[in-house]
Amino acid sequence: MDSAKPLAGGIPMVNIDGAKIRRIREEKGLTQLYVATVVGVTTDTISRWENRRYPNIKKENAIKLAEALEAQLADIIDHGQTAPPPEPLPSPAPAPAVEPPPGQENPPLQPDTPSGPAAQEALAAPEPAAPQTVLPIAAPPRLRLASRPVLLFAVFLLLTLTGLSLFWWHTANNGENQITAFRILPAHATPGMAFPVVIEVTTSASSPFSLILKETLPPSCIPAQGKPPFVFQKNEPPVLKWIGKITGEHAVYSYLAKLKPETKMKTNHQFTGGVTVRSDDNPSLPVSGTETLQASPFHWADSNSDGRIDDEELLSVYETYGGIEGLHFGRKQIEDIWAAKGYRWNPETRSYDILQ
Amino acid sequence: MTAEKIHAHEQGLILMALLVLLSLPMPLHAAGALVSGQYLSATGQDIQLQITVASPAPTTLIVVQNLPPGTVIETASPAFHQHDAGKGEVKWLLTQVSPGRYVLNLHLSRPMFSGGISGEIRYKEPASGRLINLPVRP
Repeated sequence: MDSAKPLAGGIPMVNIDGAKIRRIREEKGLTQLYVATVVGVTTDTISRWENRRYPNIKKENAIKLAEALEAQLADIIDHGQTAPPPEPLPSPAPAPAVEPPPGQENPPLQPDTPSGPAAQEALAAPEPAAPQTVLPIAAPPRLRLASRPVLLFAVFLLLTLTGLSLFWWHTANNGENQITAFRILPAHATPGMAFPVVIEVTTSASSPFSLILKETLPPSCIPAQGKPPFVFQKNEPPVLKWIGKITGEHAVYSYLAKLKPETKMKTNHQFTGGVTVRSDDNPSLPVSGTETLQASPFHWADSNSDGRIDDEELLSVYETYGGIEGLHFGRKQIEDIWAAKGYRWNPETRSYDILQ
Repeated sequence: MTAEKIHAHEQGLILMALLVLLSLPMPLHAAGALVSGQYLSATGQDIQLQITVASPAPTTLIVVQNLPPGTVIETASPAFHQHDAGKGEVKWLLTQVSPGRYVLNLHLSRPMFSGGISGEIRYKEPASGRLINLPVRP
């Protein structure tokens, strides 16, 4: 229950001035017991009304109280416009609680309601509200919120956005050492002909850090040029290593390689790699992307293996490899094939015949 | 102003604030195209095609000029990379492109009449890698 007026069920309520009630009672030499008896409540109730600044009681009780004090109703009610804070309740109740009968100890924090049959009757059939005594009280904040679904939705949305922002910020700040490495490798290449491989390393770190990039080539593969230069371990399989420092968000490591001339066509060859930042707490991260290369009589830039390099294939080659300065991936030959009608692998000469 | 009007006004303000708030994190997209083409001359013996490249520029462009089949080209500046006389198709490959304007010139053996030619610019969009085919008409 709260201080809404009238209460649910139509019972008129008023705010009385506790200090004024005490003063009038004392001026007239009346005891709390007398007033309580006249009103039909306990002395505890009278004491509580007097000790609270603006208790909210039933209008019927307020009229009886004014009679007991030999005063007018207007003399004891609070004429302020704002609602006082609602009296605390022992527990939430769907219906107005009824005060215990006279003589019984009034439990603390009970609502101010009359007792006896008259009171029950008043609860069952509330009398019409007296316009001069029922004060307008603004709806409590809870009810105002409930009546504004847009406001509630806005608050919910703002909280959600704030949560997402915090999550993003947390992820971004925790991702200082998050690194991804992606390999771009042609789907096929002709044995003995060089093809390019690019490994893009991306990081969200804000400060420079050192890394070791390790690329393991298939045993049938021979490494050639590296940009930047790599450290070559002539093992079986061959291993390339780059030790460098990343100063931005993006670093590109590239190299040329070729399948051994004796490699059989249509065989698959596996590439693996990893990036290590700190060996103690951060194990090597695998390089994702393309891992398999097939030995084929088609040029590595002819991605659909149709015997020609079309406009889209040429543009893809330049977009992927054209920006790597100094990487000699056979640009001239690719342009010649593009400008011609096509090409054909010649196993005798171990080169491409360009078809004009 | 009534209480209902005030209430509706508050709701409108809240919705507007939300729309503004939601629009803030959205990335701003470039309004214009990265590459555009325009014929400076499309009739007579001299054909001039101007290409404008904005930033971020694609690294490579392929420009296709379609002429009536059998058209004889006397000179070209810069030199083209492909010419299929039977189809009347001429291609330029422009590499290491930077933002700016490029003019491609063809001098033909015979005058060209209006509407006899068309062009096309092909490139990969830098952000998405998507192939763009941009037609150019006189």
